[in-house]
Amino acid sequence: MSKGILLFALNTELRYTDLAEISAKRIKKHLDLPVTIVVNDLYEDTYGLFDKVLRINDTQIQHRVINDGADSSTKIKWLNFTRCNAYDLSPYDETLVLDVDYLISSSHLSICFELDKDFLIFKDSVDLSNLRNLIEFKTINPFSIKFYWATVFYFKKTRLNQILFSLINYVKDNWSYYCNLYYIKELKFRNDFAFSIAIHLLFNSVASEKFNYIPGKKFFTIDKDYLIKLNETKMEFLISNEVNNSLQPTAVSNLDVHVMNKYSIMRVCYE
Amino acid sequence: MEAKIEKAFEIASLMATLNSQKRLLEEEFEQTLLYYYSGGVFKATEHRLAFLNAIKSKEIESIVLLDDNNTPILVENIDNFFNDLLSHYIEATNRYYYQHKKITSSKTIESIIENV
Repeated sequence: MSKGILLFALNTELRYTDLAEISAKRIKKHLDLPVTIVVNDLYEDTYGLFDKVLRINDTQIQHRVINDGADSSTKIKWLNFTRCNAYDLSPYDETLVLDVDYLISSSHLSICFELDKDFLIFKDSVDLSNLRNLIEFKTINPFSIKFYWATVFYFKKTRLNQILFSLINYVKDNWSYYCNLYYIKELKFRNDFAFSIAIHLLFNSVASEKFNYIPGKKFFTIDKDYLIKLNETKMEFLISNEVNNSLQPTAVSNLDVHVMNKYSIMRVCYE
Repeated sequence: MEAKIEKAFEIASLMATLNSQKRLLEEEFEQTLLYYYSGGVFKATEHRLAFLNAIKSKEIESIVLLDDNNTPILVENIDNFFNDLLSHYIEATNRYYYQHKKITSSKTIESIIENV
């Protein structure tokens, strides 16, 4: 059974391939698994970091505003539709899909390949700030179904997962309808929502016994926070405190963290 | 960016930083308590260890346990499983203790962050 990691790095104004290189180095160090990158341009793997480079043409374009801390924001293109095709794109029998801004600092996720489960996703998450209560990351609206992050998930190539990914694509293709049905105000397509809806439709009805979670919790910072230092196992942040408009120094060791401020990752690694 | 970092360290509250780090340390500890055996996930809790000790005292050699996802897992040698789980628990709590001590004895924000 082949095992590997799949990273989506579709360049826009933001160089996701640069982030993928940072991510791939950390994956090699902590998980020691082959990494396949999905790109949309003529990317050249100069450092030999990737097992395979898959080039796709994502023609569906959205725009979104991303922050670089609390004081700076930019509207950029957002090519996020391809993740729904992870099942077909992955060259591996067992695949762990990671966002390029999910920074690995431990071997924790290697357990996904040992648990003998078809599909795994995080059930709970931890905001590194203790001052925020981000309800939007708990349920997809205040009265609706559980929110799952599509940032990290594991799947095997099984019939059930083929159905799950077909369903995710069906939700994507009928996005306006599902936005209305699930009372989602944001009309932009979000993988987190599509995965949450598909999981709700499939696993909570006919196959709940097949559904399992990645052990532990997903740690994250939002794009209003800054990553300020990074080494192999430790990350330091300034966490935005909107109550008194200040920044709270915070650090973690041996924990993988979803660092949503992509600009700060680039700054720390390249400047 | 340097000025932002300096200012953040200047005006942040020591207690707020300490409380934030203690919370994250506890979350990390919860994660390190997870023990993986034969495709199952078992959190090394006092409750589980006490139960296994009771089973051991009955001289039962193997048993089926429900893991944290309620998946039945066959434990073929309870003695070994108990010893491994106990070692895992001791290692995790020791690490938690020393990390906790390091950050609570820190007198400045810089040293708290340095000691994480």
